[in-house]
Amino acid sequence: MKNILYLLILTTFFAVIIYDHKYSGVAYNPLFHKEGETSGSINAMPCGLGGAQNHKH
Amino acid sequence: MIVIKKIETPIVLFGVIFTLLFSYITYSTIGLRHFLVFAIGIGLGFTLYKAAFGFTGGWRNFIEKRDSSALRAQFLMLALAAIVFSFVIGSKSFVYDGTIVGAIAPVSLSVVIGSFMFGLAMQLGGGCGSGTLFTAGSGNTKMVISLFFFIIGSVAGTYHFTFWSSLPSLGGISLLDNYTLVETLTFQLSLIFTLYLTVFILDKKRNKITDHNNIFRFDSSSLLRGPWPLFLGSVLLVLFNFLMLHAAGHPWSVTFSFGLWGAKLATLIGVDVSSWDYWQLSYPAVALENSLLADPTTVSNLGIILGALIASALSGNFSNQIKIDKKLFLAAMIGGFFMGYGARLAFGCNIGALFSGIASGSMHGWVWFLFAFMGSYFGVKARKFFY
Repeated sequence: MKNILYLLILTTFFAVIIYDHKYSGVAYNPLFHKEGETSGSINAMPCGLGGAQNHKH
Repeated sequence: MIVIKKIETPIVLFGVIFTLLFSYITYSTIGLRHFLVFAIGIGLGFTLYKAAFGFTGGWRNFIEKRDSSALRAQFLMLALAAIVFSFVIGSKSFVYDGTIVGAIAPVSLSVVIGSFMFGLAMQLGGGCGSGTLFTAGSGNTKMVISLFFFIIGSVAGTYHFTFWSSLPSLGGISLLDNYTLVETLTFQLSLIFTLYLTVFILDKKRNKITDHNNIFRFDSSSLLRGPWPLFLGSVLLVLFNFLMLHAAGHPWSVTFSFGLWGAKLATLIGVDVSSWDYWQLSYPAVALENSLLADPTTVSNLGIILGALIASALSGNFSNQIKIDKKLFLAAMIGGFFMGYGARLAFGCNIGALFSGIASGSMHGWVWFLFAFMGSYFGVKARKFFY
């Protein structure tokens, strides 16, 4: 029973992500930045900014 | 030898169905690289679970009992990653037409405070960035609570981001940018070797261990269903981080997505997070508008959860039988919140800052390690009030 409840929580979480995917869409793909848009390793991806300095668009 | 339990087939099937579903969605609606990042996440989750590769418990074991096993495995992982990354960063990816970049962040007062906070909180919460994800995936209810408050803490951290960013900073210090490859490797490997030797000697003195073998030893004959030695975990985590470099173009990180998930949730209940400075920065602003699945960190985190779920069910250990009393709930809540908050201040957690930072030759990774370990020392003491 507890396992079922746990899996239901996970299912809800996954469903919200899938719903968000359909609702928000992919207006910008962060992995499609082109060569030349990165400015060297000093401006590389720090986790805290999710690559903020690394993606110019 | 470890007794192999019965496979929990329905749970394995649950994991496989969602793995296939997310594989299809990422590949068909976003692209090959997102699919690869998801697949790497599955591998990371599987490895983290099978090798029980946790930073929190490992550091606690050393602080309390001078058991250096996990720390030694982590140092071996860092040494291997430092070597591999030094040759890869700045080179072309074999997956796409672009240059691979490292995880370089400022060496600042906010990193000092944030990492100390994170180290303390992870002992209360019972798991670090990666640890919270893989244990939540493997059915640990307490870690779901930790994860929820981790997310809330991450959003709170983004609210105060401008203040913390204004604290004194030396800026990003990349060893590879400032020194030659040989100098960088000599510094990094000497430091890692010294740390390895120090913890081994302390362990030997207290626990009378005679060799290094315990992290290399297989306790089970089944690779799929039995536990893995820590060393295998170290090697595979480096391999997956290397693959992440090529697929995503940057190293493995975990906690950015927690802030993003929280910000989306806050938006849903009417909070205008988009007006906060942090969410007006280049990528966070886009990530907030975009689908969560477009964010590579979210995709790899989903993979970690599902990879750990499948691995635990294959081992017959998918479990949520831990009884949570008020104290344990409070520990998960406080620990989770301050891990999230601390990770935003410190430009990442034990993965994005410590593992990927040190591997990339970023000095903030070493600062993070020093202060997080100090925080953990106090966290272990504080833990006694809750556990």
